[in-house]
Amino acid sequence: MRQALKLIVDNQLRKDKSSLVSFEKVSKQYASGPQILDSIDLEIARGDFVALIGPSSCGKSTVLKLVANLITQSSGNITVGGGHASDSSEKIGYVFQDANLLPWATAKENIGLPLKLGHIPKEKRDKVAERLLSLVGLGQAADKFPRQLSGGMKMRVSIARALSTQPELLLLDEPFGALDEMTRDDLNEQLLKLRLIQKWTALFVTHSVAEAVFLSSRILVMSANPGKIFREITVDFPYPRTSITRTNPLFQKKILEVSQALHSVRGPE
Amino acid sequence: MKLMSIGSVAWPVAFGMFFIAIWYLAIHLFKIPVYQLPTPDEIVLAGIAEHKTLLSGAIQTTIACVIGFVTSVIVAVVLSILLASSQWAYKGVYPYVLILKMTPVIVLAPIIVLWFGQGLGSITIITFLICFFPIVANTTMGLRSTDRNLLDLFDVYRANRHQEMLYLRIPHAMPYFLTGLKIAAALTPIGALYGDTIAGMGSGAEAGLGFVVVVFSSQLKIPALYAAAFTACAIGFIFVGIVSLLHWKLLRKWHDSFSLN
Repeated sequence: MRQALKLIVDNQLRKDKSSLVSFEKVSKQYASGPQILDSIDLEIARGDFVALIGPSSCGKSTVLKLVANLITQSSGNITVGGGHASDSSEKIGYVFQDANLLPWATAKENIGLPLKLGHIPKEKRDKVAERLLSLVGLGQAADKFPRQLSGGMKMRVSIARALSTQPELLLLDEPFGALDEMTRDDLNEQLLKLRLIQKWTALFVTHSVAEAVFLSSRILVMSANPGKIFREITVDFPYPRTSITRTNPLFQKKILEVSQALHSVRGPE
Repeated sequence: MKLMSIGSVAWPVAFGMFFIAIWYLAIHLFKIPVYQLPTPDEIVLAGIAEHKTLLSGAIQTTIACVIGFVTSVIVAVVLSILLASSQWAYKGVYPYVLILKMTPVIVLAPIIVLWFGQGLGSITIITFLICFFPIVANTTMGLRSTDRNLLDLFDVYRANRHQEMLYLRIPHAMPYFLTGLKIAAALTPIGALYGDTIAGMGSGAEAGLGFVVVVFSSQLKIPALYAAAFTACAIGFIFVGIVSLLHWKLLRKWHDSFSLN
């Protein structure tokens, strides 16, 4: 009974939260290539933290690129913030695989780049960049060049850059895939802390089950060839989550549940 | 960060002294006549005796080098940006740039003299042609080889083509451009000297170093000929040095061709 009531309340809550990203039967196929995405339906509400997880080449990154309008769908409908994906640039921050920083620009200049492209004057850019640098714990590194920074530091600059335009929606494409586990855990916690300050919605692509469970409120497990959403798993641990969350047995149980879903998608190896 | 360490100066100097000693020794041992190989002191004395001719030749050659090199850089950069801005221009024009490259300047030189006459104009054009290709080829390659992910980044933030060129393609191409510039700088005196021999003016102050070389060799002033060779070498050295300094200034902070410390 209580369960049923909770479900009704949850659904009600979800309806109240307005939809930020919506995919309606979206398919993607490159000319003369295999079908990458097949009829994807997807709703992301404001405030969601959605993780996309699935085997390699299941089209996870393609979903992000479609949302950012870096590519266009072959069929179906995509809306971002109620409008077409092509006029949503100010609302979106994008964190790439690898830090993807300009090697000739300092940390501060890299963070200010999206604002520079939006014709924001230098003084304002610098102010924003300095604030974000101290938020991600890199206050001392403002004038350092990317090659002087460690992998984890570069990634933090990259996240700060994505946050510089105060986006409503943050798209993260396996941002921590190349980092060691300690750094990754640390950055996961920092990411959630940042989210308490700037209330963005997130769509996060990852290979790591533990990372997906720790960060997200919803996990979408995808299957490959062609890419489809196979199952949705809700993660209902309350935020803020900290390193203590990781030691919770229920957290471990959730990891197992997602791993099993992922395993059934992959099939026998 | 130092441009030169003590070791990078001391070793070449030590080797140079060793080399000069061998030089003297060889002349003494094998009794090499002065018209084949003069001693270093004979070359220095000849250089002092002919210093007026050498100096005015060097100035003349330097003028041709600077004008040829600078126009070459400007035209090459503008052309490269054009070639990188449009696939259409690249496909249509680049083959002709290649054809120009494949045509040896040696065969073009007489035609250039026919068109522009004897003198500085023709010499400058020959210098221009010899510098031009390495700059165009390298800069164009740099402008066209931008990382796909960085282009995506600029796309996410809706950068226009102008911003993409200014903030992404041009800085990315800088190391390529400077490599082209270094090659061109080393070729510049060759262009000017060759231009001199084919289009040089005989009259005193207007004779470039290439012409001075021709005159010295016909007069069998052998030590002076060596002195002229060293003078030409010095011009090349200064040119390459200036470009290397520029390279260091622009890239040392961020580019992997310079060490971090």
